[in-house]
Amino acid sequence: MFTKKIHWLITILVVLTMILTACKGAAPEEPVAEEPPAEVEVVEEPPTEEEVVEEPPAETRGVLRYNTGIVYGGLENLNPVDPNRFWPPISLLFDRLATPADDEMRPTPSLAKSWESNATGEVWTFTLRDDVYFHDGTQLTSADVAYSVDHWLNAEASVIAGSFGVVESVDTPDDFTVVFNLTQPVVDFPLIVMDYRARVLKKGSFPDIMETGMGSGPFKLETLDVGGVTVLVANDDYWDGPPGVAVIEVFMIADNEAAIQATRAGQIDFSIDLIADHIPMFDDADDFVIDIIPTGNWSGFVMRTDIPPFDNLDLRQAMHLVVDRQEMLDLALAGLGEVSCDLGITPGDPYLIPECLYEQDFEAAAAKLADAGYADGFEIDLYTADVCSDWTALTEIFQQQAANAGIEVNIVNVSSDGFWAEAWMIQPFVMTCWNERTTDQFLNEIYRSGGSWNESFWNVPEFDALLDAARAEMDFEKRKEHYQAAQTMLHMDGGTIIPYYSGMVRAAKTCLGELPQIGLFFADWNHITKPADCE
Amino acid sequence: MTLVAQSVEQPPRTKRRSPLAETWDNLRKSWAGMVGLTLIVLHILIATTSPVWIPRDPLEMNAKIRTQAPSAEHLMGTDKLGRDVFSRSMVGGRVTMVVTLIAISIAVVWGGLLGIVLGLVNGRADELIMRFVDALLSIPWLLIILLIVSVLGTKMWVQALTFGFTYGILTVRVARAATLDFVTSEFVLAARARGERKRTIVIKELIPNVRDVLLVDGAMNWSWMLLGFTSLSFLGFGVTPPTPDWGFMIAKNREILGVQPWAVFGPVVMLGTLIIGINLFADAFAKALGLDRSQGAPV
Repeated sequence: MFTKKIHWLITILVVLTMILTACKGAAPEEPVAEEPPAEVEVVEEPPTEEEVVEEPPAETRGVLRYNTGIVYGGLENLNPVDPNRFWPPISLLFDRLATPADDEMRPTPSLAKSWESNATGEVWTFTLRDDVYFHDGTQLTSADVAYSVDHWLNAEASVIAGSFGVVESVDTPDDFTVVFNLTQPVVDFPLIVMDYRARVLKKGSFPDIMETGMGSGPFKLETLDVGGVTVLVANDDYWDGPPGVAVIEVFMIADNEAAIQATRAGQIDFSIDLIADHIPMFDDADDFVIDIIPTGNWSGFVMRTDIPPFDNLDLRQAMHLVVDRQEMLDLALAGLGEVSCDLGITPGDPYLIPECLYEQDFEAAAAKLADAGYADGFEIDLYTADVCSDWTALTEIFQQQAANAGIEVNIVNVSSDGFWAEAWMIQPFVMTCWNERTTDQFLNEIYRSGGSWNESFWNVPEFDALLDAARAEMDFEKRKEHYQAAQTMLHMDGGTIIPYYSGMVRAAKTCLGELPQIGLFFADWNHITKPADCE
Repeated sequence: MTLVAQSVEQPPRTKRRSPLAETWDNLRKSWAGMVGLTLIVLHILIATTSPVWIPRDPLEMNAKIRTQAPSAEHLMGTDKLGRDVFSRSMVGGRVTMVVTLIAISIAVVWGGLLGIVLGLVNGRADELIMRFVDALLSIPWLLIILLIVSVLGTKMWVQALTFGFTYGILTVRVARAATLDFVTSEFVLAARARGERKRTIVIKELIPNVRDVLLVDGAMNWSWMLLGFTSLSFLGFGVTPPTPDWGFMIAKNREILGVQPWAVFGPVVMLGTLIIGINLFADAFAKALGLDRSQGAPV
C-alpha cells in the first residue's frame, strides 16, 4: 500500500515538474508571439503615410517620431484622468478649455475663447468656440464640457477629482456657454481648468475613448500600441489650423540609453530625456540642436509626517538642514536646473517665494536631532527605485550630506514596477518625482488635507485655511501673501525635501520647425512642423 | 599481461609524493592554469590591500570633475558624481568576493553532502529529493534569488545564504552523479561487507573520492556566482551604496557610456579578468586532478 502511495506521489511530482518546466518554456514565448503583429503594424505604416503624403497634392509634411518611456508598466490607456494615462497620445488627441502661454503658466484660450467670473469669484462663465469638431465630425457643445466635468469628478480613481472638488455644479444655458458654480470663491479658477489632465471628451464617449482616443485634438488615433509604436495622423479640420506634420509616431522605448542612441542615429526626431552628460555625444552632430529648457519638474525626498519617526517636527527640520541644495544640483544634474526651496512650483510663477530661508547647517541639524531625542545619531531607511533618472545620484548625495550630521541613511532599492504601489505613501521615507505645477495646483494637489496624492500626509488645518483664503482673495498682493505663507510652512516644517528644479535637456533634429522652448508637457503640438524631406 | 605487470611494479621505484604536490606539479605545467591562478591571486591581493594604496577616496564626490576622461590624476577618469573610477574599480569587488566565497563554501558543503548521501542511499528518498531538485532547477535562479532577497532584504548574510542555497542545488546533482560512480566500486562494497555504518562510508570512502570533483565544480560555480551576484547588484539588489561595487557601477554608469566609457570599462575589466582567471584555473585544476572536463567527466 505504502509503495503504491509513494509511486503515486512520485508520479504527481514528476507531472508537476513537467508542468513547471513547460510553464518556464512557454512564458517567454508569449511576448515574442505578441511582438510580430506590432511590427507588422509598423511595417504597414509607411504605405499609409505615403498615401497621406501623396494624395493631397500640396502635402509636404513629414512623419514626426519621438519616444516615451514605459512609465506604467504597460497599463497605459487613453483616459486622461486615469492614474495610468498614456500621456503623449492623450496630449495630441484631446484639447483643454484653457492652455498655458508659451513662456509662462498663464491661462490662454483654447476650446474656451473667453471666461469671466462674478464679483466674488464663485461663479465662472466660459464661452466656447463654435468651430470645434470632434474626430467623428460632431460639433463640440457645452453638453460635452458638462459631461467632461462629471468625468473629471466621478471617474474611477480620477487623479483630478480633488482639484475640481470646488465645482458644485455646471450649468449650460446655451450650446456654447458653460457656467461653473463653485463651493467657494476661487479667483484663479482658470488655472485649475488649465490642468493638463482636464481634457474635454465627447458626451458619452467614455469608456470607449480609452482605446479609440476620439477627441477634438490636432491628431487622430490610427494605431494604439502600448509598448510598441502608437501612430496618429493629422486632423486637418482642426480648429487651430492643420497640424505641421502629417503623422506622429510615438515610440515606447523602455531603456533610456536605447532611446538616446535611437535619437543619435536619427531614428527618432527628438528626445527630451537626455541628461547633461549626454550633451557631448551631440558635439559633432550638426544635424541636431541641443536645448536646455528650464522647467519646474522636480525630484525629492518625502517624509511621512503622520507616523514615526517623522511625525516629530524637530527631526524633519534636522533632515532639511543637512541638505546642500546647490551641491545636489551640481552633482546630480551638472548644474542644469535651479535651486528649489522645497517647492515644486514652476520657476517664474508670480506666487513663488523668492529665495530659501535657510542653508545647510550641520550644527543646527545636530541640535534639532538632540531636541528630537536622537542626540546619539539617527538611522533611517530611504526607499528608492530605478524610476526617475536622478534618484540614484540624489540618494547617494543625501546619504553623504546627512552623514555629516550623524544621520545614517540606508538606501533600500525596490523594483521599479512595484515602487509606487509598495513603497510610495507607505514607507516613512521615500523618493518621489513630479512634473511642474502652478502654485495653486502644487499646494492643493500634494499638500491639502486628505488629498489622494498627499504623499507626505501633510494634514494641517492652518495650511488648508491659508489655501482657502488665497483662493478667495481678490487682491493679488494679499493672495500672494497667503500663498507664500503656505509655501513657507512647507519649506520650514514640511515633509518634502525638494532640492532643485530639473532643467530639461532636449536633442532635436535641426530640420524640425522650431520647437517651443517650454517643456513639451505643455506644447501646442499642432504648431510643431517637420518637412517631408527631413529624415 | 607483461605491460600490466610492469605498471603494477612501477610504484616502488618512484619516490612516493603527496597528492597535493602531484597536483601542483601537474598544474604548473599548464600555462593557462598558471595565468588563471596569477589572476586570482592578483585579485585577492587587490581586494585585501587596495584600501591602503588606492590614489583617491572612492566615496569622495566632486561636482567640478564630473565625467572626466582618464588622466594622470584619474587613471580611469571620473564618474557622474566626480568619483575616481580607478579607485572604485579596485575596491569594487571586495563585497562581491567575500559574499560569493562564503556562498560557494556553503553550496559545496550542503550540496556536496546531500548529493553524496543520496547517491549512497539511492532509494525512494533519493528519487523524491532529486525530483524536487529538478523542479527547483527548472525555475530561473535569478528569480529564486530576487524572491528571497526582496523578502528578507539585502543584508550580506542573507545574500550569502541565498546564493549558497541556490547554487548548492546544482552541486547536489554533480555530487550524486560522482558518487554513483563509486558506490558500486569494490572498496565501498568491502566497507559495506565489513558492516561499516553509512556515515563512516560517506566520510572515509566517498568524500575523499568525490572531493576533487566537488572542488572543480565549486571553482566553476564560483565564477558563475560572481556573475550572478554582479547581476543582482546591477539590478540594485546586491551591494547598496555607498559601498562601491562593480555591478552597481556598470548599471549606473551605463548612461554615460558614450561619453566616459571607462566608468563602465573599469569594473568590466576587473570582473572579466577575475572570471577568466577562475575559468582558466578551474580547467587546469581539473586536468591536474585527472578530471578532464572536456572528456565528459562528471563535473
